Amino acid sequence: MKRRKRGIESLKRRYGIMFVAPWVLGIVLFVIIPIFTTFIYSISNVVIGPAGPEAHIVGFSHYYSYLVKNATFVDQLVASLTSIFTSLPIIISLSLILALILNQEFKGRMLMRGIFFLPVIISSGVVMSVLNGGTATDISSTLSAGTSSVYSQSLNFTEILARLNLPTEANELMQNYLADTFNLIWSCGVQTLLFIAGLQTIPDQLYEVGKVEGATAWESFWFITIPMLSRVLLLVLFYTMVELFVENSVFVNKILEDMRWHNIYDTTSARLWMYFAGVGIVIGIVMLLYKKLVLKRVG
Amino acid sequence: MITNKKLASTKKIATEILRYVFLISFAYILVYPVIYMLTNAVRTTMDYIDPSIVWLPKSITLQNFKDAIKALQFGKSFKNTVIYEMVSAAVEVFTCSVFAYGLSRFKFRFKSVLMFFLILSILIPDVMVLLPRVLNFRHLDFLGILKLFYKITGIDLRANIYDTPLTFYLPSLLGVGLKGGMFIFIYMQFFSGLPVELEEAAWIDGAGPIRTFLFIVLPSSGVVILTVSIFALIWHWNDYYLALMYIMENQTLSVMVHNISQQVFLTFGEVNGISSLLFGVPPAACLLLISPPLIVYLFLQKYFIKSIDRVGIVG
Repeated sequence: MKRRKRGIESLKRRYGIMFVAPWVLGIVLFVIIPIFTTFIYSISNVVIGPAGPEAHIVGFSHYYSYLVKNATFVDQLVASLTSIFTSLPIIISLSLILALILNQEFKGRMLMRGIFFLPVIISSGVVMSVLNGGTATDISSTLSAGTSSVYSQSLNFTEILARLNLPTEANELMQNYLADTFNLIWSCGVQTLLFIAGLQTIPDQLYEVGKVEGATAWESFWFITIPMLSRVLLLVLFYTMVELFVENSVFVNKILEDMRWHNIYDTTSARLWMYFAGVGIVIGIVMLLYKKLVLKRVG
Repeated sequence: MITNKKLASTKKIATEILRYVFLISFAYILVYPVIYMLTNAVRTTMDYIDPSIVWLPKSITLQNFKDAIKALQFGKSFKNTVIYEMVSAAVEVFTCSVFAYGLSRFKFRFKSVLMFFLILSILIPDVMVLLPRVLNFRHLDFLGILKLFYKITGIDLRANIYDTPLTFYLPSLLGVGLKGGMFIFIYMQFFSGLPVELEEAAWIDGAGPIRTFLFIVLPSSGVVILTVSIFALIWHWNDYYLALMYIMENQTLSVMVHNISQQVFLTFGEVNGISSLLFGVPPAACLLLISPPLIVYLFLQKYFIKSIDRVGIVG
């Protein structure tokens, strides 16, 4: 009897391996090897020969020349990485608020949900970049949807701000912030959707218990909703960071442009590695904050 | 004197009003670009100069759409989008379900390592690996074996699949296409919630794992398949980076729309002054890009939103 059971177990193991084997091959071929290849390129001089690119290893000189000799690179890198600390809180809080409202019962809920999932459908940066002034031809300047001309033209907030007689710096800051906010609302689609899916999994009984115990709406939000959403929040955080770092990054677009049109492989790889090392650090910081601020509540 | 009841009902009305104000102002921001595109896409050149026209144009023309179709080479680029992106989306919907089933139902050695790689493949952005992939597509090789063979014998067996649909199909077949990790993750969440008894019954009745998967598991996963299909189709439809890097000649619709001003220049020559070619064609092109998914969405909206509620993506 025991022997037979072990037979089935090993059979199941074999079937499992059979199911995932192609995917493992894909991961090795298209993820792991390419990552190592970019690293090798980043420490080499790459010459394109008849048999494909030839890499001659020269050490970390590319990294050195960017980090120490190039005056603007580090500034650009830091600016591009730290911008997430303003946009991430906006996106997370906006999509959470939207999800909370859209999850309630009210008239026209279907219509509103339809409208708020619109960004999921039109999620391409392409449309926004064309609308935000698609006259430029190179990738880096059009995809950087930094200042949104579509909104600033029509909503006239620039004029309103000008009338407030703020100091010039404050005025500029506000303008950029507002323009960004409008763009950020557009990148809330998937996050709102994930939050709604998460809210659906919270059992009503928890809120009922809270009510019986005399909790206010505010308290039940902080002590029931947020802890129950902690796993979704993690997923949303990861998704948003990847999206912000890749999709809206002028930095990445410039690198891709150099690869695609100028066939530069070595220094671009070094820039990629530096950028994503920075991204790794930022993700680490965000995770630390998440642990400190959210997981503490879950206990 | 205000009774408690009155206070409560005023409070209720106030929240109601606040909710609608909040929602409508946000909805305005979201709908605004769509209206902007519409109103700009149907104007004649004269209407752009007329300052009295803000939203409603005096005359409606479809000329901008005709010009946009010409500049985008719409038929050709639409076909390319279908061949390159839509097919690989469909492939991905199926293959990812297979891998997710294997990962969530069976126990085997190194499974935790594979889970680590799954998270890695979700987190690592495509741009990080695009260049080596492109180079590999130019000289298709596995672990440098054929390269070694070439160096020793001088015979190059490495095929060049760059600029062919295979560059999209191959990663999709192996589950590492556009956002493949994300799809595997969504499927896994669903499969782990599926009752195991049905499959065990099929096992006892003598169905093999492949038959069990095809005839028992897949038919009962309609909700998650719908969710993944919609995401896969939309993300592939809007894909810009992969198409830009993998394709030389036959560009897809989204890349063409992105380069619309260049395309207008190539098709109609230099444009001077105020012209509908500069102001009307780009929004018309954008509308052409978003209308197919939008139409599909309008039909599937109800099911999509329901499936989001039920699939428990986040478990």
